[in-house]
Amino acid sequence: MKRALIVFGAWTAVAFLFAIQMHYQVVSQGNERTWGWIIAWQLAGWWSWALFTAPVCAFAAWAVRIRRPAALIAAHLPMALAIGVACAGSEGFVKWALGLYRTPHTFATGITDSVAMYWTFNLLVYAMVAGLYHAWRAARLEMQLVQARLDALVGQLQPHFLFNTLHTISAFVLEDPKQANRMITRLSELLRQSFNRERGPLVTLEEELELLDHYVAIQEARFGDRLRVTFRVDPRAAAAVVPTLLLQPLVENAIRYGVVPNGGVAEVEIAATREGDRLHLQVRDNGPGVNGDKRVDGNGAEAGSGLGIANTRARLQELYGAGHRFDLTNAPAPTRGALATIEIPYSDNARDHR
Amino acid sequence: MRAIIVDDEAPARRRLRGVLQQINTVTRIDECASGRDAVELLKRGAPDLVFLDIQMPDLDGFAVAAAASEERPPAIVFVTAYDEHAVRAFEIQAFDYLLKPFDDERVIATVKRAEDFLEWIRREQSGDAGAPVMRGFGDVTVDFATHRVRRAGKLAELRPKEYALLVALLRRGGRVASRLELLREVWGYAEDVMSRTVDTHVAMLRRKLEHDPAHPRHIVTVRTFGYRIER
Repeated sequence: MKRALIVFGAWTAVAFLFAIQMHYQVVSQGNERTWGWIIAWQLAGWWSWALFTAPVCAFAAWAVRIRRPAALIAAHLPMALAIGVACAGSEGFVKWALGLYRTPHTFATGITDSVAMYWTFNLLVYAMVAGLYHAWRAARLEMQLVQARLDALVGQLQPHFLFNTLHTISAFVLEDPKQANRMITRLSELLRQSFNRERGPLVTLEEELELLDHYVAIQEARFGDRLRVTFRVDPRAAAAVVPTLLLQPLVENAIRYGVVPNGGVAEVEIAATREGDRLHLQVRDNGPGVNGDKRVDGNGAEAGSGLGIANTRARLQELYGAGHRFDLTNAPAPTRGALATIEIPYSDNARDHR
Repeated sequence: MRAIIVDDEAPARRRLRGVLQQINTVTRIDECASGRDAVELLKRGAPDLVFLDIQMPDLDGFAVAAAASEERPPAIVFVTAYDEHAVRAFEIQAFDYLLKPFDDERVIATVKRAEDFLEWIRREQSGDAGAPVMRGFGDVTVDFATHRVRRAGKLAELRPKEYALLVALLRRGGRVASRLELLREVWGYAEDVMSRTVDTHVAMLRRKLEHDPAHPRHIVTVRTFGYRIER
């Protein structure tokens, strides 16, 4: 509704600009028209465009899947002709119906005259509308990707994770210096990979799992016997291209809600398999599970699904659209706990995705 | 003193235990790995000192603190990697707020102050006739009966509000007082529009009672929150 009002308002403004121009044009030619007639004349044209803006944008939205610029223009051309003619026709009809023509016109000539007069001009208007749509979408996409990357990095380097890890290291320094050293090495490796600016929005599953391995080793040192993490990775999936830091927030949540302090051992399983052209990723824990989209905490209360999960969802939607699946559900009986499942198209070539 | 350590990570508990074992006034140390066990232990164990992690999967540190005895309140010290909960912690009268990772000296200083604090509030509560009429820090003594403040034996001239502020701080026995609390107690204001007032009076007290007012050792600022007395 808000969007419709903006479109309508913008075209009304255009109509008034053209009305001013038309007024001086009429005067310079020694003719006389009232402002009312001029404004009605312009509105008949530009409000027609207000009606046709939605179909132009809808078509442009469909056409974004066409990657080659030449093919994109070729696809728009017949649409531009069709809409240009239709818009000029509806403008002619309105002018005839309101009696704005100064010479006698029938229903048919009212329309045909308008089409003959405006179809070329309307091609330009169409190009402007479609061009604006594509520019707006590209800008929005860029912004979302930048935001997702920032969120992911910030999530990775949550200060409390860093400080808790340093605290654990400080505990090991005296009692087990070798373990302290191992943790410092792991943490450094994790930081090095997170700080790496060349790590793009997409990495191979192997790289993602390597980072995850450091993260998990640190968490295992923190929680000791109370946490057991296993990796089950299909070797045919290792080269798959995945969004960077895709699994880390899922594993972080699995550990956070899986380590229930009633004496049990938290078990987290990370699995990756490939079936034909699909990549399946799973993170499973044995914690209290989920309720709808929300995690359940140790008291059975809903605990929210976390920023990391929302970010993961948004990035998958942006990169794969309808081609992905992301579910956070309870593991099927008799096991318990939460099960995060991601399914994306298998690809081992980063260029397939922008 | 009996201490309880509540943290869901074993290395973190061992770290704190390692420090507390160096302090000979700490006679017993119990550990809990969960908020719920901690509530249980708070009821049974009658601890003096409670070191509480905030982020735990079942009950968080604030929920545990709420379960502490009101008749015999322990000194609660939050121990956390998050610095953003400090204001809330002091609002519920936490004794201190330790940020992970910490060094041994910081913990030892906290325990020493807590000792002092516990002794003070327990005497106050018991309404003991032998409750001290004198109190102080460094070379400063305050006589509550005569309202006289001496520094190195010499009388210090304090204005009434300055004296009231000093007493308000001393009465907390080393626990932090927020600016708002002090304002209400000493000036009776209900709003914090004049919280600068507290700061200027603290500055005056420091000038009169501290050796080096620019680097106060006894009337200490707790960043973003308020003040406390250190002996």
